[in-house]
Amino acid sequence: MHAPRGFSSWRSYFHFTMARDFVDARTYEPWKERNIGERIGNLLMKPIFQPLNFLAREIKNPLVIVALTTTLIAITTLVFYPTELMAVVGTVFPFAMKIRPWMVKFALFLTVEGTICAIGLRAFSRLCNERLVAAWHARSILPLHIGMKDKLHMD
Amino acid sequence: MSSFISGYCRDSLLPQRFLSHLVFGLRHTIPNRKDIPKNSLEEIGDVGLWMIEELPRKVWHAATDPRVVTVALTALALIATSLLFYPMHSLYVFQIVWTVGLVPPFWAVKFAAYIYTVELILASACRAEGRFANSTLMKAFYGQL
Repeated sequence: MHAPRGFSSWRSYFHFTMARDFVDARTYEPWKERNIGERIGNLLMKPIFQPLNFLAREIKNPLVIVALTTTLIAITTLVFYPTELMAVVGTVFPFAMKIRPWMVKFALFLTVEGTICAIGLRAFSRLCNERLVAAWHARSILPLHIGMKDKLHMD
Repeated sequence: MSSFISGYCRDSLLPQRFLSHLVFGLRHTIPNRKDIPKNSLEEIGDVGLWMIEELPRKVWHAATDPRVVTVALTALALIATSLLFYPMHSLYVFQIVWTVGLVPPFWAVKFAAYIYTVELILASACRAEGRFANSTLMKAFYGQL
């Protein structure tokens, strides 16, 4: 299937639209010219992607490994023994007993849909930013993806 | 003797000559006819055939626009998420939208197809007649210019 017009491949298109940020290819200075759509998209994505970015960068840190392991065990316990876990949690946080499964499901649904909308809005706004698109096609900017350090030249 | 426009040769076989007439009458553009203007009948034919000749190109041009691709992919992801979390509700809504909004009654589709086909035939005929009535173009086609 043809890549979108102006992009050499689908890979290039997704690198451009899904990048966390951009830096100048020579000076490694962050790209600052963002339009309003990009800023709103970035803001809506922050609650999900900022922790993900932190996690990806610091995954080798032992404290992060311990925290991640604990979280995964808690999620597994919730999946297998939800009632027992909520009874224990309810003794510490009484309001937790008022949470119903449909509330959790709906909150998760809204979060996912909101994140997808934010990604779409940011991607669309980037494609409307002519200077950014021109810089991308001229290879004068580099993408920063999740997990990459902000200061590339210090890698 | 052959023309500089189409390579038509009056000494060639009948089917070949007939094919040349067909191409001359119905082809989208006649190459190398810069100084031979179109008459009104040919222009009417061009307008009628716009939907089958120009519109697919414009639709393709728009469909490959990265912004359109982005909107389409985002919509697809939203629908997929909706189906994942609430499949029964989503299918119910899609069924209503499909039945009420997207699918017209069969008689309307049939009538529209009939009108469109007749319009295409008339437009092709107008274009062909316009070109065959254009004496300058005909002379160039037959190589007598």
